Amino acid sequence: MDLETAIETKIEPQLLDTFGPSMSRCLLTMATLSYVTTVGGKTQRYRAFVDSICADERVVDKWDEAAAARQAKDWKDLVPLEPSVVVLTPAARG
Amino acid sequence: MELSSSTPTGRVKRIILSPSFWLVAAMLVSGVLLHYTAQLRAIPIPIHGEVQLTRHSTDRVLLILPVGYAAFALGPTAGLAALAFAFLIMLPRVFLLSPQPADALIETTAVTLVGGLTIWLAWIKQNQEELRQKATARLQAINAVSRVLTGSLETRRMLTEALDTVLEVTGLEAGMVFVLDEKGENLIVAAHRGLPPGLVTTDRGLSLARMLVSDQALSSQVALPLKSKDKPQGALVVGKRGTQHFLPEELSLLAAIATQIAVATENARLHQDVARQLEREKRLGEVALGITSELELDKVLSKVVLIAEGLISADAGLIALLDEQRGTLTYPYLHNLPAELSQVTVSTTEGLAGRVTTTGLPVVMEDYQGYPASLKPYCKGGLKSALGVPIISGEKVFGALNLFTLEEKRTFSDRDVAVVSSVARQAAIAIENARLYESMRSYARHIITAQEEERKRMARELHDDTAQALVALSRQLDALLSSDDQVPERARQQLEKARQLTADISQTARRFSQNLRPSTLDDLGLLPTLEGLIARLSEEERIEADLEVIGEQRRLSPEAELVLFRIAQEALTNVRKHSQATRVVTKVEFGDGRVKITVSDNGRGFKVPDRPSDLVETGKLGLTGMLERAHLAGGTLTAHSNPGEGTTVVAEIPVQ
Repeated sequence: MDLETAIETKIEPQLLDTFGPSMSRCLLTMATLSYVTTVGGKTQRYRAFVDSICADERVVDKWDEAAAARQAKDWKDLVPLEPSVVVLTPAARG
Repeated sequence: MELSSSTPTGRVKRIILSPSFWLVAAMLVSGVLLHYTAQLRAIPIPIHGEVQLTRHSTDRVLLILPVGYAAFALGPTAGLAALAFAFLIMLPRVFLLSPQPADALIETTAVTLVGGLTIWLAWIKQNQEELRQKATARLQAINAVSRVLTGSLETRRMLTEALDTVLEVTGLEAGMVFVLDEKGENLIVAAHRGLPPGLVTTDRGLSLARMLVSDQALSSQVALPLKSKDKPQGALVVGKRGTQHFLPEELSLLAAIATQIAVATENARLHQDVARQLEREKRLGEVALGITSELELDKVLSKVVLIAEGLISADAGLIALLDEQRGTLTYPYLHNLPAELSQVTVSTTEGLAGRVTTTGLPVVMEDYQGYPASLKPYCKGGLKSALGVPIISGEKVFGALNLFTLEEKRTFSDRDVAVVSSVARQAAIAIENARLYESMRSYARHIITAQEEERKRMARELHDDTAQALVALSRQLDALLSSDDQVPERARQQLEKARQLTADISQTARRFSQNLRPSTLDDLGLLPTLEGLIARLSEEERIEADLEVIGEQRRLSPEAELVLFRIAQEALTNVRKHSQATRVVTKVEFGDGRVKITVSDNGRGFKVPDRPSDLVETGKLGLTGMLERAHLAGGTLTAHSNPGEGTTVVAEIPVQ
């Protein structure tokens, strides 16, 4: 699935249902900031996007850690990682 | 990079690393060898023959000088070339000419080593210089960005100029600056440069931000978070269309610049917050002024809705008023909402206003339609998000001030709640003031009504009893004077005086009765009564007085006729008592729904006080009374006068 489609049809509706419009908007914005500042391909950025949401304190408080991790995996599976992509994260660059 | 070291160890280290130190050391060692040649013979080193300074030895040593000079003056590469050249100069003598080839070889090797050492030192120095230049360039880049960032507090302009400077100092081609909006609910493209035309169609939208960084417009890019005090502010993305490998020092330079941009963005935001706060305080001051200068509740509350909307950029608003006895709410003041909603009356258990007035607390609803107790007529009005605050003074709840969005849902912030609550408090004061004012007006109306009734009663008694008794007495005196009985002349004269006095008293009683309440006003109406009043003024005071009537003449309500008569009566009394006028014109204009009466004289005039409240202080009690009567009738009264220019009093009241 295309990552924008995944965000629009899966992630955003689920966040709206669970957290309401205001908090969903905040979560998506911070996740997009994470997407923007991650160096790598689209799918790697998408993974950072999902991680940002599922690692957010408010999300973990609501879902608990295990459920948040499961949700992150489900969402990541929607957009499989491209095998050819070489990821350069800020941490890897040192 | 350590540009200077103040510790002793650091200083020694710096000196040891200095090329001059090693050059001096080499020269000193050479000197030792030359000076102590004989003593060095005792050292078992494989040197054959005499080790002493010959002319060729001196030549060889002197060859170090051009090598060293070339290395320091022209660079290590030039030094290497010079050394190779020197070596080639020395080599033929070593193998072909020198009588002591072993010694010559050792001397040549030593000279070559010293030359090499000198070149190495020159290379170290050059590296240090390059590092220093790079550090200076970085500082200059940071300084250039700082200068731009401190040049403006307008976020977009500041970020655009900063991005331009970043691209200039880094040599990159394109970049974008994203900033979070105030609520952290959107990522805005605040500045961009070098992107393909048409790529940035709007500055908002999360998907746009994702698209911009994913797009292949920048093959090589660096993205850095903008953070100030660990709080995300946005992101800086810069790059090139071609391939670019970013060096660690370039990344650290960009990171330093990103931190500066983040701090500057936060500062600009704080500045904007302060400016906004000042603007809001100014607006709240205007609200207070507007509310306290207006006593008509309808005008005040309509104004309150508009001001509150403007302060928090809402689309629509209303004021709900609470009827405590019935436990209901009505919505008489609406803005940008269907007018029929003003006819809605609901219980306090329903709707946003019901909840606000019941709890006495502000309520924020992001999704009004989803609120279980939302009102259907309002849902049909297309309300999206709502903010309601109580209109409350002390423990008394008057109603609620509700504001709405119509286009899209939004969250009202704590600041919005605080601002609207301030406006609602002012509205509560306005309602209290208006109710107090209305109560005072009602009290004044009752007093005037009672006064008029009392005047009427007194006038009737004077006319019906006193005046009639005086008439009877006058007739009896007439009868006595005309009787056949013998009345002494002296007594007759006394009776005649008494009869005359009785007639005068009777006339005075009638005039007094007329002034108290002319019966013609009730019987014939305003115009005949005014005609009588003006005729008496003309007759008694020798003032040329006229009455002009404009418009369709008609009888008015008794209350309206009484108000207009009393105002005209007071104005004409002032003309008679104070104006020294020779002419006065009273004009009555009948209009649609209004009647205007104007009394103009050519008297000496007076200075009209600036404020109505000054009338009492300056002793203008007659004008005060006219003003009160006009206001109580829902009308207006104005007085125009200046010393030496006559006086014009204009009263206008609504009539049915």
